[in-house]
Amino acid sequence: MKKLLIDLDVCIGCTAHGAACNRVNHDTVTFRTAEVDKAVTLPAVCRHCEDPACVKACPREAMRKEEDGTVRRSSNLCSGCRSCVIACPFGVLGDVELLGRFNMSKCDLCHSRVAEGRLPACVATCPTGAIKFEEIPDAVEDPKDLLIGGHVVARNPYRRRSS
Amino acid sequence: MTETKHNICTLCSMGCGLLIEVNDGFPLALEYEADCPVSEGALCAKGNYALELLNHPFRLGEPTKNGSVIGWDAAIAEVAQAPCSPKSALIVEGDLSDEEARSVMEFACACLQPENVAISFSTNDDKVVRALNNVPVPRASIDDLKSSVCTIAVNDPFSVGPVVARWVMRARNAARENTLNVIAASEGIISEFATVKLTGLVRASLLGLLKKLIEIKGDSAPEWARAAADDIAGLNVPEDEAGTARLAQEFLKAPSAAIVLSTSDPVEARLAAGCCLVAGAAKKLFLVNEYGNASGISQNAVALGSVRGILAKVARGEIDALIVLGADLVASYPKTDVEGALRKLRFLAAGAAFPNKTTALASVVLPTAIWLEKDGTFNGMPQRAVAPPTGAALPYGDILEMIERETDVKPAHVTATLEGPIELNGEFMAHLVSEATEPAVAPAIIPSPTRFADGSVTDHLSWPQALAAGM
Ligand code: SF4
Ligand code: SF4
Ligand code: SF4
Ligand code: SF4
Repeated sequence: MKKLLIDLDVCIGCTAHGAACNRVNHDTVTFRTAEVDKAVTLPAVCRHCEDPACVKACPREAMRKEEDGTVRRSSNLCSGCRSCVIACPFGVLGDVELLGRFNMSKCDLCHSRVAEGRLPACVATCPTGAIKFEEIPDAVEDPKDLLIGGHVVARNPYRRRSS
Repeated sequence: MTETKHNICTLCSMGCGLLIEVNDGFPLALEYEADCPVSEGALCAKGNYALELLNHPFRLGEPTKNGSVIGWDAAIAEVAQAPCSPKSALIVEGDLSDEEARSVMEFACACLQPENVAISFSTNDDKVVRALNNVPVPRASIDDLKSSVCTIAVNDPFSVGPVVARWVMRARNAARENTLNVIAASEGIISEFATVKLTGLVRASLLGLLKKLIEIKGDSAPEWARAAADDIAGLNVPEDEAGTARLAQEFLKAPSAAIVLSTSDPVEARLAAGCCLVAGAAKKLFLVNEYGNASGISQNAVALGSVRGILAKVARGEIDALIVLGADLVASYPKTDVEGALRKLRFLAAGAAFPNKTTALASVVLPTAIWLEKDGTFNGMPQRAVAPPTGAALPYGDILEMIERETDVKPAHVTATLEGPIELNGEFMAHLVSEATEPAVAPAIIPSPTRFADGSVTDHLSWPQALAAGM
């Protein structure tokens, strides 16, 4: 299964990924930038959780866990109740105040781009190559890597400080 | 019919490639150009929003005089009163195409005095490129950057060419012993990754590093450097002695190292070049300023004036009519009283894509096209219009041609002679740290092989050519 691999040791926090995601997802950023322990900037994106809270929270079944593991949201079914936004433990679904029906985009791992043989927009744009879209086994083998959801792997969040 | 057109982002000097899907003249989508030698497909946050600038509601759409719309004919008639006087000047922003750069040079020679014409590279001023023109410092290619064991970023390259961060970071992460070091006025986006960072006055930090390198090299330092050592002995050095010493050691012992310089200060450029020259072979200089169109313009150029030089003349009243295309002078030089100077002008025409602080002062305002609306070549790479210009906007080149026609002068070709290389001696070092802002290199045309659309040829290597030549 291909996963987003975020190499935090290389990320410079430029937010280009957010701009690219914003562009392909029409104006609501689904991929933002967060800070962890004031130590590393963490490109904050939907983890496509194995057991997603947003899916459970959604009263309209607009949020769904697809067979390929991605968590996708149907604009047509969404009523804009924001339950998923509140439920998501990672806060990646955005700003409760700003979002409403139809304008809540969500990372779908650039489903349509990938289907056309393109890279996800965030991966293509990242100036430092910190975001990769790679085949990674479910059990992450490299000790430097940390599986932080069904489809997102973070690499080495604390190495940066030790050098 | 959908076709893919190639264009170059000119928002900063990197010049990243863009692919735009165009359907029946309507730009649909932006795609990343993985084959672009500059960016390998990456775009920074700015580049990603390129299409938003087309037909943006804030764009300037019509030529105006004192706020009322006048047609292009009337506007050009107004502007054409300005040229052909020794008291007139022209400043054009550096996002112009290769062909437009040629138009500016021809305009400079035909209508104005070349020293009263400048191409503004905003942060990357042409005087930096010229200050290094004849300095025999080895230049780093992108491959050199990728394999640099010790990289010193002077100022945050991210602020000038965001995508250069790609190579700097790649070098740092290639091996555990590789270091990235930063010399900058303050902490920037890259400093977080620095092994050694020297903050404070950049000139002083570079001077400190240069002194340290000369000291460590002792007798094996080049003769000019030893001569310079006395010369600069009394000058201020940075407080961070330990950091400077460590950086000098790292730089010297690295089998390959690069100084990545992004600056508008020719003195910083000379000092950085001096550090490479003292440290010896395999210590190379990468001038971010030279990427994008800056190289094409500066190296081919008829020796034009500098923006600061022209602004100084305006302030002294030696220039009374000014045409500015693209550049927002007031915003670009916040520490200088540009507004005060511009108010002294008898005539100011300003062209821009968006209203800005300079157009606010101009009596005649001209709407200009952005890169996505132009056909041409940018630094040797194709730039294809993906949409017609917003409103009645026109590319800089067309505007200059219209003025030329109106003033009825024939574009001229001018030659100049190349002066000998700068002597890197003690006096030179003293000159380095003086506050001199005028370029020390004499005006020059360097002959060269880039083919322009009109069939003329110059010597600047385009990006693809430079890469093919293994530079
Ligand atoms: S685009 Fe890449 S380098 Fe920039 S913040 Fe995002 S992950 Fe980090
Ligand atoms: S990270 Fe949040 S939005 Fe993504 S699947 Fe998990 S709960 Fe849902
Ligand atoms: S994969 Fe696509 S939708 Fe998901 S964060 Fe990246 S750009 Fe956004
Ligand atoms: S790095 Fe510069 S040229 Fe490249 S996309 Fe960003 S602004 Fe444009």
